[in-house]
Amino acid sequence: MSRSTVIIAVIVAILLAGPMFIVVPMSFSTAPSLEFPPPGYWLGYYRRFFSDPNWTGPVLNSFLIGLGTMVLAMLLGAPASFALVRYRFRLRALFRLIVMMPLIVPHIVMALGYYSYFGSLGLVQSMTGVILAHACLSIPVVVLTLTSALVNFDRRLENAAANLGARPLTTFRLVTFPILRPAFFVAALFAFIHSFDEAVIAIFISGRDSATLPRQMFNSFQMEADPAISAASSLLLAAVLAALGAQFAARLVRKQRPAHS
Amino acid sequence: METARSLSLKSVTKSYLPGQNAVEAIDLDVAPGEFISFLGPSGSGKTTTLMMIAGFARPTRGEISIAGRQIDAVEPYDRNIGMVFQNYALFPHMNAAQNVGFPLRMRGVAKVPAQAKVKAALAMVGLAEYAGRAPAELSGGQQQRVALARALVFQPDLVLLDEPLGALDKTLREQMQMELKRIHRELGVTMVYVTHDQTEAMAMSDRIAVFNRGRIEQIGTPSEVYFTPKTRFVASFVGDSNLLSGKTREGGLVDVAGVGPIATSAGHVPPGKDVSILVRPETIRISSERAELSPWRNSITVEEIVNYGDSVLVLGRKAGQELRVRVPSMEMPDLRRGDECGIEWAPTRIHVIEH
Repeated sequence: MSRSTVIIAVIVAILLAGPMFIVVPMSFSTAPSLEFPPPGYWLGYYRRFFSDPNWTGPVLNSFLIGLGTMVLAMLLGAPASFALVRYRFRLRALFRLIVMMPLIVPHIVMALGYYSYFGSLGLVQSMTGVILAHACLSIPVVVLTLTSALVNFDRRLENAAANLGARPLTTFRLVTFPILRPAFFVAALFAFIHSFDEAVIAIFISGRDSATLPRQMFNSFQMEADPAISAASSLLLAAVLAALGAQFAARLVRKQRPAHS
Repeated sequence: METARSLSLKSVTKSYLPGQNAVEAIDLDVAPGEFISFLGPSGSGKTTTLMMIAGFARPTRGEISIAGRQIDAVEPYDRNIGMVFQNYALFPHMNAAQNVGFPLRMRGVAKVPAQAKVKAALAMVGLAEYAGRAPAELSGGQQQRVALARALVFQPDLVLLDEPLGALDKTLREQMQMELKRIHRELGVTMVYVTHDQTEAMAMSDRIAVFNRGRIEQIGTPSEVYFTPKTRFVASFVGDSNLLSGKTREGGLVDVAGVGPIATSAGHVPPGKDVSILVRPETIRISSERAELSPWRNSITVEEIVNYGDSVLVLGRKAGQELRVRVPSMEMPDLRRGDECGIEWAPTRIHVIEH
């Protein structure tokens, strides 16, 4: 690598990782309001964060909405992935485009759409509404992950299972799913994270009782600039990193001792 | 073994596109306990036929029966056919014993007898000590053996093998051929073996079905297919050959343009017919002296000499007609390129293919 490449790489890395290095130290600050660099360090913001129901409530909501989104996106996305990879049907390209649409359409546009559409259905300000909207956003992520794994899946393994006496559902349970388990795991994880840190739609359609953590952060920032927001940010970041790290660790473990099911 | 079953295909046809048949009107009867090979180039329909027997493809027309029972409506998982796939298709998340035990598990065999059967099957293929290994921890040859054990452990009515040795190197392939023959002998199970390798088909089979363009061109024992092929395709696909075109005369003589009359085994063919004659290169004898021209002697100009160690291939030419002669190294006369030499053949060894 030439020197100029290294310099560019370092600049990009700083730009990408920079906010983390500001937010995380700030969350341990002693300052009464947001301030960088922090004058001193303590755990006051975290104590405030965890004792204030205005923060803990949204954390719980975000988890519930994330889990709901994950389940729904997997239930819809997994069959769609199998259909897209394994069957040639009419309007397949159009179907794929529609499934992938939420990746392209700006979230603010989607949010507006959901707001007016869910309004008439009475789903605005409800957890169900947020889960439905987030599931739509997460399905493309699920489909992308699963289709790329499915394309590489050797279908002769399913033929072999059938040949040895396994019916289709048994084949799925004992052969297809266990082999694709890492992809299913990653897809579910991404669906969850996608919902957990999504802000725009949550701001539009989650209500006071169903506020998610990003929405509460936005509100807090606008209204009162509660410095606990830096603790919230750091925790959100930690949660996402932990989820990705868990997946990485799982892969390492699998590599070390293959196939002892 | 008491489970040996017969297999029968009656005018089985498969077309994927209208008007184009991947397999056309295949008729085949396989005796219980027989080892039959489907031999042919890729795209000749041999694998498609195998897939129809396994149940992964449905015949467009015709019927397939095992032991007299028609199986066309039977799903693959109810057919009780063992199959060894081209790339083994071992389950990567299960170890060798779990792979071999899978068909027993599907059949609800109780744990203890199942374990005993798995153990016996792995021992039969010489892998008793590898039961706990994952496929990724086994060599290609070992994976092949596990796949074989898995296809045999549940006493299938029939075992299908789809180019099972294609991925192995030559030494290992020959070793596995011998082992497969031994297992076939010990179990007596009916086996259908798909290959494009004619020496493999020759070495292993009771009978060979030669496939070409979706049809079976000939079914016969290895020596029938080798020495008395019914078509030019069979003659050229199985083994090395000299195929000459000519016209029959009285008394089994065939006139070949530029070469002269050649004495053949075909006294029964009426004169004046266009035929091909097959002269296997190893049935021709060669000598350094020019031969007197007769219906069983001729002379050629040596164009190329290829030494294979155990034998020598002489590429010669006689008036525009190329001739291949294969001579055991021990009997090879002193010849160089450009030399003229005599050749001689036994008319009984010369086979005539009628068009």
